[in-house]
Amino acid sequence: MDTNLRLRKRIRAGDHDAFGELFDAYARSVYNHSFRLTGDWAQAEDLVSLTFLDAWRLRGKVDEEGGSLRPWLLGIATNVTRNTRRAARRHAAALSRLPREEVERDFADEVAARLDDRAELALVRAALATLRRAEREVLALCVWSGLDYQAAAEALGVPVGTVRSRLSRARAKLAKHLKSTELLPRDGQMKGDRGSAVGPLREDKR
Amino acid sequence: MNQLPELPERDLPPGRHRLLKEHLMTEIRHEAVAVQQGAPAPRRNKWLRPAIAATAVATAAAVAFVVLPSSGSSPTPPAKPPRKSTAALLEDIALAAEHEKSYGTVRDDQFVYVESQVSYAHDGEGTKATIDPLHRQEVWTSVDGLHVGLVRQAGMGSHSVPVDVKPGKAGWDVSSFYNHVKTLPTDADAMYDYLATTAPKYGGDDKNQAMFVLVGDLLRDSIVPPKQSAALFRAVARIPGVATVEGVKDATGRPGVAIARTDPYNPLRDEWIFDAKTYEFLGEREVATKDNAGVKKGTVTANTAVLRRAIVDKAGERP
Repeated sequence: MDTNLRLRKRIRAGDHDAFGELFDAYARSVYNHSFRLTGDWAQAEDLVSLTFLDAWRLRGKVDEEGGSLRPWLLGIATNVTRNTRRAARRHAAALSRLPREEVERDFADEVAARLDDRAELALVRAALATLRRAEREVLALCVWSGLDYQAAAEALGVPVGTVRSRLSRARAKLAKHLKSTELLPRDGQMKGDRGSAVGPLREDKR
Repeated sequence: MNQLPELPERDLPPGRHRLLKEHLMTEIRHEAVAVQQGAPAPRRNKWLRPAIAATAVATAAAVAFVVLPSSGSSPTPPAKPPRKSTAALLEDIALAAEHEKSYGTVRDDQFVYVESQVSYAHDGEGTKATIDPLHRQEVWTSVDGLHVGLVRQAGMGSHSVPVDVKPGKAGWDVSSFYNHVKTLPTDADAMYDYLATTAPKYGGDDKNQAMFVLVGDLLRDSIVPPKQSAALFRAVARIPGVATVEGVKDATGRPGVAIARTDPYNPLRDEWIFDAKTYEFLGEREVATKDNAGVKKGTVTANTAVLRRAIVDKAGERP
């Protein structure tokens, strides 16, 4: 049995350690995805907790078959972000026990700290400003979290064709907006920790 | 196809990965240390306030996000007490609730069964939001809160509801388990005090909205004994900002009148619909109060109709 299948089985069975492994493996993905949907790192932290609490609640719905559980978690994160009020009510008791930092981090300082971050925030805000929520969700899942169409469709509970059309619309809209506002750095690149992170935005024909 | 920039990924802030993981593992093990009853809860307030209010604004109001100042101050003027006609309607509703049938002796190991028709809006293609088709939802909730419940949604499968709130522990005081709601005050003043002291602990900058939301949570998918139910509605009659909306329909088209409150932090209004003649609770709606993120003002973004409530012996068993 491969690792993914074994993990799926343990998650379905409510194995505590399996949830610990899941958290170690994907908390970072969920954190970044949540930021891209909200534009706020502090909220993204809270959404990590809500997502994993909801994953625990929904563990019985995990398919026995399949690959990585990352798309499943990103789907839950997307739903939790959509319905934060509902999710927060559902997990009110657990949230009340969430350890808080004694010192509030200064969000603005933090953002100004790195140029990368500023460009990143500008891009996320541009997406928030110009795209419909459904478009933003597919953009975040497919482009920024790297899910394929099928995985994104499963994560969102929509047909693959819908993902495709939303994504192409999202891309077009955002590209147009970025061009008009020159939000992209001059070389057209976002610095990233992945070498291929460059979006040759101006090369429209690919 | 044009290509968009990828984004760099960040780690959680130092120490947070471990802390959040420990929190999750503790919750999973149901060994959470109870928040002492009566202990001050500034930490909770601090947390829930930005998370709920700000995230809801950021996600529901995509366009507004970049325009709005980040100030957390109340965006609306203080709400006024309900009109006399609204208070009178709530008194009628309370009287009807008081005379509802009793479910007799309810055992701790039984379940509250609530069958509804529900639909919720999702953002759709183009300019129109799509409304999920109306579908059947069945909920089984443990009477004592100590048994695993069940939710079944037609076409979407079912999932169990693990025991995550224990009697007397954090969260119990806002839960809708029968064994909790049956202990609520039967007197309107005492009920108001309970709502006013409990609701703000669990969220929202706006106490009145938090109280209204809590009452909705207590009524939804639950059975509230007649006296407590009447006291709830009489307490609601004193919450500023509560209003009447005439000529509404529940999810199955049953006409009624709604008790409503506009959410100060989200462009939407929560409504509870009652039969205009019998004053029986029919269902709930959520209505967009502004054009927002492609959703037109007036769009019904959530719609439910309760069809029956009963006490059954097992989760998954229909009455």
